[in-house]
Amino acid sequence: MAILECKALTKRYSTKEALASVDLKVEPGRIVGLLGPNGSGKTTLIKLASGLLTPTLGQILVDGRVPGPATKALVSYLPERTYLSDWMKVKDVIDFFADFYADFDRVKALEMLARLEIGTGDRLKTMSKGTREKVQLILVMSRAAKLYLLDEPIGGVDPAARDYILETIIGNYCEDAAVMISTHLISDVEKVLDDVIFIASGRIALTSSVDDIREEQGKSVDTLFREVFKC
Amino acid sequence: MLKLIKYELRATARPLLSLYIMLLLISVFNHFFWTREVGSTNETIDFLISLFGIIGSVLFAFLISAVLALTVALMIQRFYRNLLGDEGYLMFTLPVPTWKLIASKAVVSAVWVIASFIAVALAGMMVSMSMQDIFHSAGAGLLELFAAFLPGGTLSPAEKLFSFQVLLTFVLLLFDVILAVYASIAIGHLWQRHRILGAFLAFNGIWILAVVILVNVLYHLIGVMKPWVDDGVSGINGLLSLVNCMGLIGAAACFFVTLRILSRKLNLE
Amino acid sequence: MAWDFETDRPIYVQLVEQIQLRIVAGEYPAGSRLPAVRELAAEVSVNPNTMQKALGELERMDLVRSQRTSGRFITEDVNKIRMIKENLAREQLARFLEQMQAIGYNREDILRLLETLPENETKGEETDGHSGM
Repeated sequence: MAILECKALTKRYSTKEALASVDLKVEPGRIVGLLGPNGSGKTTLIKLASGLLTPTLGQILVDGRVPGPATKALVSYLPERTYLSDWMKVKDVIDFFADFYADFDRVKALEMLARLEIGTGDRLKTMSKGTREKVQLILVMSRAAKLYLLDEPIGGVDPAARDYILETIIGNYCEDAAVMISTHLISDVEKVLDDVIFIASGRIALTSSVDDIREEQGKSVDTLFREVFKC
Repeated sequence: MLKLIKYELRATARPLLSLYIMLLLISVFNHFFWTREVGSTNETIDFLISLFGIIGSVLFAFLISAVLALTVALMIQRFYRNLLGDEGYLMFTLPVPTWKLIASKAVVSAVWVIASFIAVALAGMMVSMSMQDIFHSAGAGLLELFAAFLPGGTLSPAEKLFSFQVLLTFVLLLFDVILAVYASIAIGHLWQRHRILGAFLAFNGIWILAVVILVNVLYHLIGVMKPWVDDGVSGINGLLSLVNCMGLIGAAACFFVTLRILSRKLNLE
Repeated sequence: MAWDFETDRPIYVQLVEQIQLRIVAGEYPAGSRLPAVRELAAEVSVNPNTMQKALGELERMDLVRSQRTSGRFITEDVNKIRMIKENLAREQLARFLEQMQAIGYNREDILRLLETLPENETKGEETDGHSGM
């Protein structure tokens, strides 16, 4: 069964239509890139899947169910921004995740933090933005979720950190789980993706596997993206 | 839900507890200076004592208002920042139903309001009475109160019910205010460009509405209620039951409005 | 040896080529054990499914075999490896000769030029990846 399925999914706000009748399916064991320019609806789609928004029309199903507490236990979401409470120390956040998520692997998280030399007594408030983002990534990836939703995980991050993030995503791969990465930095991410979804103005422009695009069109996804979304 | 309450308490405990401790320390300080006899042994000492007394009183008043202000501010800020700010991305993706998020915050807010009142009362007592007096009179008073409630105590069933209802009225009033604040913030959240203004207007709107309904209900039921009031204590019971019901309905209404908005119309930026 | 990918061909095809290269060059010795798919994929920074596909292809080519419980191993068939090595060398040579012909060098010219080059210069400081090893 598809981990994520959208049927005629539409989301409208009072001022605009963020998603217009989107149909898509993501199967487990795939790393999918949600690629599109800013404002194309990527974040809206991810928020719908994580239960932060409700559809205006149509359906979105996670593991066959409508988003709710049950699906939230299966979905690990990494938003673009810092979402951790200021007052906490690293060990507090780890306790928090361990408390609320049954699939959280504390040992793995501690290992990853140690490798980056982040102490458990460090306060979130005093960390640099980059370090805080890494902490969030580690927390999200230390869960054994069925669907990982990463919203612009490598934007605004230095190249070394970018490599670390991609390595972590690959190293975390599990064939029961799917990973959806939304980004507009395609060339960095292309080798890591199985499939890509091009989205623009709330509509799906193209769905394909990376291999198919390269074989059939003889170009990289990055090149194709630039062609499709030429300004 | 207990976990949510635990974290909510941890997030709010430090500033409030520090203030409580400062308040109690100032009370002790003031107690020392207020109960001194201003005799004419030495003018400078008298002057110093009066001076410290005045400074102490000012600090005391300041801290009391600080405690109350902080309790209210914290209640609002926790809801606004933790649920509708960036932290909302974390809270609303936790595998817990939305109603528990609201309820845990309401419970913790209520706890702190009650705690603040106790702290202020205690501070007041500490200023005027010595520690032994407090233990004796207050302690004895509380014990007497408890004894009266036990079977075979001095209160009649109707009186016990009355006390319970009065307590319930206050508790419901507390939750009414808290939930009305939450509902206002939630309603304000719907108006994207002027969220704070919206919340403020909503809050006023809710209370105006509540008073209007209350007055109408009381007015229409005056006929029914007169015989109750004439009836004495049990009549008062009936009246209070009605008040309690309305309090409960008000709290429930605010809760459901908040729940509805946060589950369906959530729009974190 | 660095992993280098071109943008216009499927990655798994290029992975097959590059792993093959490392096998014949001895970087992955015959009979040695390969790391798990996930680890290998993370090392190279590619999708695990893609790596799996490439390894599957290499298995089909009998360069790699998988033992169900112990993992994947490079073939022990040293002859086969030597054959592939030679084929690769021939391909490179053919390509090289073609390019030299375009410049206008024949066999003798090439051999003469080769003799003037000292041994270690074949590592080439101005190479850009593929021609050097």
